[in-house]
Formats: sequence, C-alpha cells, structure tokens
Amino acid sequence: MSTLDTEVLVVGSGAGGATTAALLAEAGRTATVVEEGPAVDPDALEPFSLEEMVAKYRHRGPAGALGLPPIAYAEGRCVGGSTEINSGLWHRLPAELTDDWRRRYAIDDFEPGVLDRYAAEVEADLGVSTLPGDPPRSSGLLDEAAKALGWRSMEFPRAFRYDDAGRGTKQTMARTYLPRAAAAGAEIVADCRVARLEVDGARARGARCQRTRPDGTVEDLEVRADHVIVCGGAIHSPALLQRSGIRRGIGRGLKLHPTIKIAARFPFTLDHGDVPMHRITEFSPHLTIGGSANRRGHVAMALAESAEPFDAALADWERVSVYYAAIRSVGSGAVIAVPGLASPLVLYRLTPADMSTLARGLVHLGEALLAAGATELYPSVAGGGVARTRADLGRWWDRVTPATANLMTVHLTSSIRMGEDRRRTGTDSYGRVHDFENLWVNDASLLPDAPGVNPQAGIMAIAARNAAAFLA
Amino acid sequence: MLAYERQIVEALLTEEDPALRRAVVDHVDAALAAMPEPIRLGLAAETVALSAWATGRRWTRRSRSPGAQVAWLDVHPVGVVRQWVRALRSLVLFAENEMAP
Repeated sequence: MSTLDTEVLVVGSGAGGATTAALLAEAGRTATVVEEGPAVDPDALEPFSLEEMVAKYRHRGPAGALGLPPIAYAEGRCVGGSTEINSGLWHRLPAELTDDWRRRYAIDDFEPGVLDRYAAEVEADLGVSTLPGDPPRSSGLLDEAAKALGWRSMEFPRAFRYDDAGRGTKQTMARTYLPRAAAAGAEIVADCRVARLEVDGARARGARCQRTRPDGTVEDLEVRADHVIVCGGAIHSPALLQRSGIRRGIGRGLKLHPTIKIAARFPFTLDHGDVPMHRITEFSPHLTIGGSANRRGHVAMALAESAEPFDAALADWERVSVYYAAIRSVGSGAVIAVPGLASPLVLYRLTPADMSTLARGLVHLGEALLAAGATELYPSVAGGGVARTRADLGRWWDRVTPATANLMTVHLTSSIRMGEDRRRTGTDSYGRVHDFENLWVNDASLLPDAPGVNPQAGIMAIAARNAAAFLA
Repeated sequence: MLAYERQIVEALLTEEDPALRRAVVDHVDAALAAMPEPIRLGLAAETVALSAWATGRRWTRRSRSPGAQVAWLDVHPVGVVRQWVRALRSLVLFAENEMAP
C-alpha cells in the first residue's frame, strides 16, 4: 500500500471540489484532490456524444432513482466532474429562495448579498457570458414562442468564453479551477476511488483509496490528511460518509428537478450541436421550460419515450429537437449506501402535486412548441399520443401518471443539508459535518433544496464562501 | 448481458450491418455491466422472471419471435416490465443512432 500525506484532502473534482482546491491552494494550503474518474482532454470528445458518455459519465450514462415512476439521471465521473458534461448554463441562486433557506435551516451568513458577492467573484474568474451573436434556431424558437404567447423568457448566460470569431469554449473545471489549483501546488490524483474515510472520534484522519494505474492494475492508497473535504456530489458524498459510518443527517432529503420531455418535429431543419440557451421563465422557479441535448441519439430516445410509432419522425431527425419542462419537486428522496455494493441505492418519491405540475409543464411546453411552429409533438409519456394541435394537448392532463411518465434529471442536490438546525441538517452553516472537527462537505449536497435553476452557479458560490470560512 | 437480454437487444436493433449490430450489442453489454449494482440486480432479476415467462408463452405458441416478444413487453400491464424494455431500448437506440454513419 502506498501512502500520501497532505494538509487538505479534497474528494472529488467537480464544481465544488475544484473551487475548494483552487481557493485553498492559492491561500497556501497543501491540497490533494482525488478524483474517481479519469483525466480526459476537454477538447478530445464531441459534447453529448456516445464517446463522451463512455469516457466521462458515471456508469457510462444511465443511472436511476427508484420510485414510482423511476427517474433516470446522469452524472459526470472524470476530472472536472459534471462540469465536463453539462451545458454550462449559469444562474445565480434566486434571492427569495436563499432567504427562505437561511431562515428555515438557520444558516448563518447566508444573506443574498453574501452569496452574490461570491457568485460575482466566481463569474469573473470563470468567464460567464451570453452569446455574442444570434442564437441558434433551436434556442431562438423558444424565445419566439414565448413572445407569441405573451410569456417571459430569457437567454441564460453560460460558463463560456468566446473568441473574436464568436467560437465558444465551455469553462469547465478541467480548463479553469483545476489548472489554477495545480499551479498553486495542489496535487490532482485521477482514477482514484475513495473506499472509505478513516475516522477517529470527532476527527477524520484521511481516506483509504484504490488507485487504478495506467496499466489497469489497482493499488491501495492511504491518504493521511489534517482536513478532509468531501465534494463527490449529491449521490456520492452521502454514500461515502455512510460507508465511513457517518449517518446522522446524511443522505436524507435528496432533491432533484424531475424533467418531462417532448420530441418536437418542425417543418424546418434545426441545429443539433448544442443545448438551447433560452428558457421560458413564465412559470419559474417552480416550472421551467428549456431545450435538451438533441443529437440524433437523443432524438431517437426521446421519440421512443412516447411509445408511439416514430420511424418517420426519426428518418426526419434533422427537423426534430428535444425540449423539456423541469419542475421543483415537493417530494424528496434518499441515498443509502448498501454494504458490499460500490453504488448506493437511490430512491425518490414524487408526490401527486409533483405529477400534477409535470402534467401542467408538459401542456405548457406543448403550447410553446406549437407556437414555435412544431407540427408533431411526441411526449415522454407512454399512451400520451402524438399532439398536432392545441386541442390534442388537453388529453395529456390525464395521461401523465406514475405508470406512464418517463422522467429524467441532471440536477441532484440536498442530500446533506447545511445549517444550524441539527434536526434537519448534516453539516453546520459552512459545510462542517456535525460533531466533527475537521470533516467538511462542499458540493451540491449542501443546498437545502432544489433551486429550480441550473445549480452550478449556486454550488460554486457556496463552495467559495465555505472555502473562505475554512481559511478564516 | 444475460441471454434473454441479448435476445431482446438483438430484436430491438434496426440496422442490418453486422459490424454495427455487433458494436451496439457490445455497447449495451458494457453499459449494463457499468450500471449501479442495485439497478443492475433489479434488471437481472426481472430478466430471469421474464425469460421464464417468455418460455411459457413459447410453449403455448402465443409468442414465438423476439419481435413479438418486444411487442408484448411494450404494452405489458406491469409498469416495471415496460421500464425493463424501455431501459434496453434507450441503450440500443442511442448507440445505434450515434454509431450510424
């Protein structure tokens, strides 16, 4: 067994881990980041492609939260975490939401102004901007539809930098904060899975890991650390803590944004290389309408979710694009580490109110797509039927049920809530695990609830705030 | 990949090219192996049950071809059965359409 000594061990290299590592290393701390997945050149693979899925996604793509209905989800598993595979859409946490969380969970130093200050610093570091020119057709049509219906919409900024020719580069953690961390002396260890943390009373002493060597063989690695900061995301942070015998307030209250989709066929060709930047925000934050990855493979999967014949639409796939309605769910879930298994059991319970909001979202999404000129709508609801007119949308209200709805999500949060109310949280206001002196969490798990928007901006702002508290 | 899963995956394929068909089957095989264990165990248990059920249907001559079995699974009254074939179809469709020239 090899051993490695460090001052701060950061487990995970996504939005939370990379931010933590860079800020601590630049403040002079000796930091080591261990990442379960491989280091992949951010330019090597086409975004949202099969090759990217195999190389960068956990489980090569598909995973699921069990429940009625089950909810498919995807996570990154590579150096940079999910920032390497997401769309880079950027939205600060809504102030009314954070204010509610601050009061409900007794979170210190969590006023909107505080979070905005950290968000602004992250945005300046990262590079967050809107498109320099006109939006692609698949995105602009959402804006056109909203205008036609009298609804609010906006182009979301993204963590992108654009060159003079207008070419955008997504500012993933592998391109930004991780190189900064490394330049400041942090060590980044890829292909290294943390089996469990070594805990002694109220102190974490480090971690037992398995590192995969370039030749495929596996070696045991013991990392000894003065401080341990767990940033494995809302599924794997609680699973690791539970595997290490830490269960109080850990893994309960999982939140996600259940998403229902439509594959929409238009009488014109659409772009398929990017994710639409426009969102219809008329019903936000409880319900948001936007566009998904829409390569040929995504179009095929979305068409099939309707359980209707789709061969003709698939043959015409260049005129088909995939859109979604995502909701803030009233229901919640749990992450449960199972002895002997590498992956935890993930459960999620949607409420009848959630199903009703999803049905409403599907109908509103259908209205928007018809207003944008779509001629056929294939909902991700078995038995929903293909809609061609507004009158057809009416039957969807009753067809969205736990038995028929095919749902998915890419936003998972809240499995280790932060705050001083110990009955309902797993850490204090700054991510320190209750009853521990030197064990912290600093990722999406801490968000007390699903934010109703893409969570990366909120995760990074909170991570930067907590890193500053750690250093104070 | 279990034998019955392979049978259904091959029935779900639409491409004729043997090399492409093999590549998609290999991808599905790897994706199933990489699934979270709780989900893979559940799918595998379902596969065993469905395989036995399908065998019974063949004896009663109600459904001989793999294509007919897919049609039967697609409209099955039990939700988890439909989810089982949905999971396989998603893997096949994505790979087939992404690998297609």
